[in-house]
Amino acid sequence: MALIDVEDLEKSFGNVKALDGVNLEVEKGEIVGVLGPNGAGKSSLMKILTGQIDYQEGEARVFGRDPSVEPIEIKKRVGALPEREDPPSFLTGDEYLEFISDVREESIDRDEWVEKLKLEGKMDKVTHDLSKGERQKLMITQAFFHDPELVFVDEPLVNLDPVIQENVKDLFKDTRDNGGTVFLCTHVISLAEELCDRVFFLKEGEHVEEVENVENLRKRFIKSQK
Amino acid sequence: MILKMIKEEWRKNSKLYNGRSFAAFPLVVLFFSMAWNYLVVEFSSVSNMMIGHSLVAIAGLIGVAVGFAGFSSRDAFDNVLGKSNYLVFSSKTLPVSKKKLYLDFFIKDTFFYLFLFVIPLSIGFMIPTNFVILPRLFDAVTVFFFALLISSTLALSSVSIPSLNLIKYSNFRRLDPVSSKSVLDVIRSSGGFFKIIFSLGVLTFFYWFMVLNFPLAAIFLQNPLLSFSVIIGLMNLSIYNWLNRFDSLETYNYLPLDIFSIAYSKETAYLFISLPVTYLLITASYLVYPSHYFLSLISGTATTMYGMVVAVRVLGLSPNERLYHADIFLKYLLGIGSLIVPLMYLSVVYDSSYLTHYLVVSGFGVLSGSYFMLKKISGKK
Repeated sequence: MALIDVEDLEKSFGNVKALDGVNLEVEKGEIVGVLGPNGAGKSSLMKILTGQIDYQEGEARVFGRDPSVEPIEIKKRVGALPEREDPPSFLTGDEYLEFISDVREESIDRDEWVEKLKLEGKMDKVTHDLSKGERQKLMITQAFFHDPELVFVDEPLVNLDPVIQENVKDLFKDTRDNGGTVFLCTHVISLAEELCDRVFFLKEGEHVEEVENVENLRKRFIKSQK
Repeated sequence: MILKMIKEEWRKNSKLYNGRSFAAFPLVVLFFSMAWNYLVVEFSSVSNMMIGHSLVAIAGLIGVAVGFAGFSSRDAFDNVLGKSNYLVFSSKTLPVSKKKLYLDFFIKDTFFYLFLFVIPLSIGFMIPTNFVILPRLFDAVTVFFFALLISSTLALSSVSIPSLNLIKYSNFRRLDPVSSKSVLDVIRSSGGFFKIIFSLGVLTFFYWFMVLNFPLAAIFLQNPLLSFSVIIGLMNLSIYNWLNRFDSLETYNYLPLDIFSIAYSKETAYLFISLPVTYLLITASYLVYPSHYFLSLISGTATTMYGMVVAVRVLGLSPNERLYHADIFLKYLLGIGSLIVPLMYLSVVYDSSYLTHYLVVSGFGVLSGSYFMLKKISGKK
């Protein structure tokens, strides 16, 4: 059974069709990219699969479950890094880690994550006073700390410096190498090319093409969008 | 810029609610103001001069309340409004100074609340008094303006009061994570816990000022501590507002939390703050008017808990915004009134022969609040 199974998925916001007949399958132990320009429907797809929003037509299954019917069960098993979300403003970094650890009822190796993402000296500040990049590091931590089988990440490297970007890429690879799966939504072609085992091109909400060999991705992606 | 801001405010509100319902809110204020003043003029010995004074006092109080809402404005900009974009943020991208934008924002707010509250309220005072207190309208508007100016200046220049070292997330281990976070949001946002004590303290002061100085209040409020404990349930809505001001359901979308558990957490946080504050204010009031202390604690608990049930069911997790919706405002009044009105009546006519009645009605408030919470707990399990 595929980890993620999507068939003829449709989603509209008012008169705007965000997804129009998307099909894809994702197996265990791979980094799968969804590549598309702005407004292609990447974030909507991720929100549907993580049970954040409902869909109108077609089918979506994650771990064999429908995310619109069992969103909490799915959220418990996955990690999610939304594109536009910050940790709560009035908690310190340390308190935020305690908070997510309490919500998920999973212990967290605080020191390991602080070292991995170079957050030393920042954890006693309220997140409101941290830089965007530092807040993004905390969001990355909450998505991965509980070793989920499947992690959804949406534009994960935004605001991160080059050194941390490399650490985060390594984190994705480690997750895959340990049998986990990363579902990466991005419009950064070089990132998909570097990390992904397979890529799906999205164009205006439609699944255009599945690419198994990610070499020369830029040329093929641009061609797919014409 | 100010006209554009007014247009923006209108669009924001009419998008949030239904444009017509929002437009009807000043009419609701006018209706209640006029009804109340009609009662005062027809059925009391209160002079027109006193009614004029009270109009000015209420306008000043609205100015203070609106201005101190600025305690949250910086945080609200960052936490709630910041996700959208508003003209007041234009200085980030356009060559307009922050000071000018804040000034424009203040002027816009002045007009906005003037037309939303003060003008309809004043007309409600004028008509029953045949406009003899018309000259006080100018005083009311002036007092409103200066009260708003002073309180919003104080609010904007305030800083978070409590030290992070004193109050930590781990201090609230007995609460669930979202409750703890919500309590910290209130404590650490601008104005700190002081904003709650201050806003409720001002209302408490105003109440006792009326009771001790206005003959009309003394006529109606024959057991003023009991009546105060009933009114507290209404006042505590401001605590529920604060607890919901710094996040929304979407904030928790990426975590395994459903709407019921988030609502339950907000209720827990509400009771965690409001019950001690209620007991504190009743105790402080007891020093002013020593009578019916324990009974007041019971009815204070009843109206606070019942107020929570009505707030959650009618106003959901965005009380501040929804309350300006005329339909919802009326629903809220009817809901809360079904306990407040009989209990208020009993508090006015109370003597020892009414003890059972008083306890039964108060018990209904406590039980409905407790049942509501227990149902949520069993739902969670």
